[in-house]
Amino acid sequence: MTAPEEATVVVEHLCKSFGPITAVDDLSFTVRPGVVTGFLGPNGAGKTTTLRMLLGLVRPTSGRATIGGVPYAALRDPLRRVGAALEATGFHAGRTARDHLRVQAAAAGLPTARVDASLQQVGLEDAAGRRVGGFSLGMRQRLALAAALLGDPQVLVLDEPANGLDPAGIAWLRGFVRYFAAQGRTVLLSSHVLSEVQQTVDEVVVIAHGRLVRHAPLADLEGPPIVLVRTPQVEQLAVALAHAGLPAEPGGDGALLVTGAEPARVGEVAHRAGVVLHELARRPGDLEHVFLALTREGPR
Amino acid sequence: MSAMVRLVRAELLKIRTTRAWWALLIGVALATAGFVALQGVIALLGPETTGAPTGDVQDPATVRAIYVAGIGTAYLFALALGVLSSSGEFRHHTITATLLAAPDRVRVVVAKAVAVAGYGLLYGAAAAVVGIAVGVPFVLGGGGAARLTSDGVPRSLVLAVLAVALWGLVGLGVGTLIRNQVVALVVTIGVAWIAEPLLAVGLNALDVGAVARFLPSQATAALASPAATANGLTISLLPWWAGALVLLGYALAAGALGAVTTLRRDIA
Repeated sequence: MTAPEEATVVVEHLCKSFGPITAVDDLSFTVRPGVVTGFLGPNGAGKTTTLRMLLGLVRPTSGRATIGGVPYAALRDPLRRVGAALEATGFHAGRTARDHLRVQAAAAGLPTARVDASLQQVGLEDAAGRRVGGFSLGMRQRLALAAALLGDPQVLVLDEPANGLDPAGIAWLRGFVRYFAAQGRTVLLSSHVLSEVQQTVDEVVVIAHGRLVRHAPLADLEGPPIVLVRTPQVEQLAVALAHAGLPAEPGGDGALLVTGAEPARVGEVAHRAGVVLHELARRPGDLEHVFLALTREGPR
Repeated sequence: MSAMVRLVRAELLKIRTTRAWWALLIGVALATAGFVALQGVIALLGPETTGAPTGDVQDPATVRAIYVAGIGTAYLFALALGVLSSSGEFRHHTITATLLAAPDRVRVVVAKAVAVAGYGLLYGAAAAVVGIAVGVPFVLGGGGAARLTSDGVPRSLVLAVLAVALWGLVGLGVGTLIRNQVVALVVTIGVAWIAEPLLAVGLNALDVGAVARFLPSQATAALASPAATANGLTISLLPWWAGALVLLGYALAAGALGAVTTLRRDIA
C-alpha cells in the first residue's frame, strides 16, 4: 500500500491562458485520500483544462499540480499510481475494447490478467472482443473507466464520468467510487451537474470562470432548511411570520416558503394567529439552487 | 523489462490491432506485382519495341531492375503506415491514453519509430518476395538466368527492403509534424508519388542531377537499384549508404521539427 500522502492531489496557484482567454486562474485546492471529491462548475469553467494540467497533458502557464508531491510526468509507472478517464472518445473505432486495454497494459508493463480484471470490474467482459466503433456512449464511459483501473491505482481522476450513463449505470458508478474511496484511495471526479453527483461526493471543489468559488464538505454547501406551509389565509400568515421574525416568501398556490425555521415553530406561529394550515412540510436545502448561485456570482 | 521495450511492444500492438496494416500490406503485394510484371513485359519486348532504356533479360542490371521494380510504389505504403501511426493518434484522440501511460513524448515517438521500422521491413520483405515471385517467370521466359544469388541481386533486394523501412520513418516524421491525418497523408503521398519524381526529372533536364540525387526517390534508387538507371533517368546516384543516410536524414529532420513544435503542444 502507498502511504496516504502519496495519494494526495495538490493543485497550487494553477493558471492557464489560451491566447487572451484565461481558462484557469490561480486555482489552488487539495484532494485527500479516503473521500470522494466532486470537481464542479458549469461548462467552460476550466474543469477539463485543470484535470489535463494535473495529468501532464496541458502545460500550465504558471503554478503546478502534483500527486504525492510529484508532477504526473515525473511519476514512475504513472498508470499504477493514477487512473484517469478523461473522455469517452479517446478510442480507435476499429480496435476492440480488449485490444485498447492490451495496448495500455503493454505500455505500462502490466500483465494481461489486469485487462480481463478491469473489463470485469466495469461489466464489459461480454463486449471485450467487439470494436469500440459500435459502442454506445455508456459503454465507452465504462471502457474509459476500465482503462483507468488497469494499474490498480491509488488515485482516480474522472472527467464527467456520468455522461451517457443510464440511471442504472450512474447508480453503479456511485457505488463503485464510494467503495474505491472507502479503501483509503483518492477520487476526484468532475461534473457540471451537482445533482448528478450529490449522492456520490463527500467534498466539493466548485469553480467558475477558472477560479475557486468554494471548497467544502457537501453538507456545508446545503443551505438552511426550508419549510413549506400551505394555507387559505396566506396574507394573515405572512404577517404573523414576519412579526415572529421568520421571513417568508410566496411559494405560489397558497403556499409560503419559510427559510431557516423548523416546521414546529411555523405551526406554533400559525396556531397563535388562528390560521388554518393545509400543509406543513420540511424541504431539504436546494443544492442545485446553491450551486447555481455560487457559480453565477463567481468567486467571493 | 525496460520502459522503452514496453513502449515498443505497445506500439507494435497498436499497429497490429487495427486493420490498416494489412490493408497496406495487400497494397504492397498488389502494387509490387503490377509494377514488376510491367517491367518484365518491357524487358521482354526489348528496347527496339518500347524505346525504354532497358536492356534484355540477359543483362544482370535488367534482372535486378525487374525484381525491385515495385519498390518505388511499395515504399508509399510504408510511408502511409508511418503517417497513420503518429497522426492517427490525434485523429482518434488516442494520444491522451498514450501519453497517460508514457508522459515522455519523445520516448513515445522513438518507440513508434522502432515499431514502424519493423513493419517497414515487413513491407519491404513482402515487396522483395513478390518481386521475385512475379519477376522470375519473366526472366526465365526471356531466356535469362534468375541470378537470385549472384550479380548483386541479393544485395539489391536487401537494400530495397531497407529503403522501404526508411520510408516508414519518413512518414512517421511527417505525421509527427502534421497532426491532421488527411493533410499529412495528402502531403506525403502527393509529394513522394507525384511532385518529387517530377522534380527529379526537371532537375535532371536542367543538368543538375547532382542536386536531384539527394531527393528521396533518387536516394531510394541508390539503395534499390545501384548501377542501374532509376526511373529511366541517367542520374548519377549516391552510393547506397549515402542514399540510406539521406532517407534517414529526411525522417530525422521531419521528426525533429515535429519534436520541437507539434509534440510540445497541449493535448486538449
